[in-house]
Amino acid sequence: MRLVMGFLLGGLLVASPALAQRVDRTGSPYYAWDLDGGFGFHNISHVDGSIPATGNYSDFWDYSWAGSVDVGRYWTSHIKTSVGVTLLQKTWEFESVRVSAAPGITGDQYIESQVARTQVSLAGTWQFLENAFVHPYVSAGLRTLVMDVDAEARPAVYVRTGNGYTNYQVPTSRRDYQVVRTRPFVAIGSKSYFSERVYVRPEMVVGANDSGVSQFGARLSFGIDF
Amino acid sequence: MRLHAFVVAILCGLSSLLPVGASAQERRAGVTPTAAQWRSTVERLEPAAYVTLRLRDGTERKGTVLVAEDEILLFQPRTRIRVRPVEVRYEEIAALERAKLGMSPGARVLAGTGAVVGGLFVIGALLLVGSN
Repeated sequence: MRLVMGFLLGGLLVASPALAQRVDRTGSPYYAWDLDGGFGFHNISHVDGSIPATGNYSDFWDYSWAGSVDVGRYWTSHIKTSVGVTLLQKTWEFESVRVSAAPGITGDQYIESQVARTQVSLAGTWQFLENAFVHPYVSAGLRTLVMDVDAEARPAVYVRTGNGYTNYQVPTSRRDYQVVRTRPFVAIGSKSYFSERVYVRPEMVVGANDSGVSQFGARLSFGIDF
Repeated sequence: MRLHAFVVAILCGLSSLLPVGASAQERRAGVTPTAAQWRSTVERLEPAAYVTLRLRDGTERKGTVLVAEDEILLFQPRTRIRVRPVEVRYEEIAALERAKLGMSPGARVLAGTGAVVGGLFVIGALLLVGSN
């Protein structure tokens, strides 16, 4: 949340000296900045969105609702660069690790991780048409998935003994760490205006990793040009 | 001899087509209103009439008729960010029709999204009822 607030504040501070209309070389007027917030879904394949990436589990997808905020800067009436933050739903992951339960005895300890996921995107956009009420666009860029992991090791180690398991009590432990992954993406959408500056922006996003499509999302954002 | 007559007949036929084509073109040109006729039409429009204007160069714009002068029509194109009115000479006009201001594109997107979400909701509800 602090990241989002900082991002918003930073965007407004950077934008404030430039609250003005521009006219590009073709004589087409445009606003230099836009700011929008949206809601939708963003699904990430397990290999992109899980911790740790232990193999290619791209058959599995993590489905998530997503809220987003984006700030864009127009350099002409067609070219825009933007930065955005997308908040995804938290996930819980379980893994077992091999640990020592006692001198000479090893067993499995289960670790439950709560993962807060935030994506930061940088994009370049080509917007079609000039000074129209509908502007279709295509975007491409990078989405960096930041996973803040709060991992808690269960206070027990399970040791296999004959036909069953023996439970060894061990102190619980916590570990916070971060996993960061960056993937390229493309997006298509359109800015459809209600008035001169207020718009709604439906968009579809596809991200990829080495094995192919690894992210897919769609959202509806509301925003303003300024 | 027969061949000669046949060739002559063909040539006569082809040559007869040329004047027919030219006269058809002239007739079509005659159908397009003159500058004076367009001025007369524009003068009879109500104030700030919203129209679709197509020019002879193929461009088409929607906008508002501001002023009808002797030689030119002052036209305010409908753009998102307001731009200067443009002067249009009557002889440049190929077509002029009344237009309607519909829902904004933003409102249309919302309506479409609402319809899709509503449809999915109904389908989901029906599936839920069917499974019980």
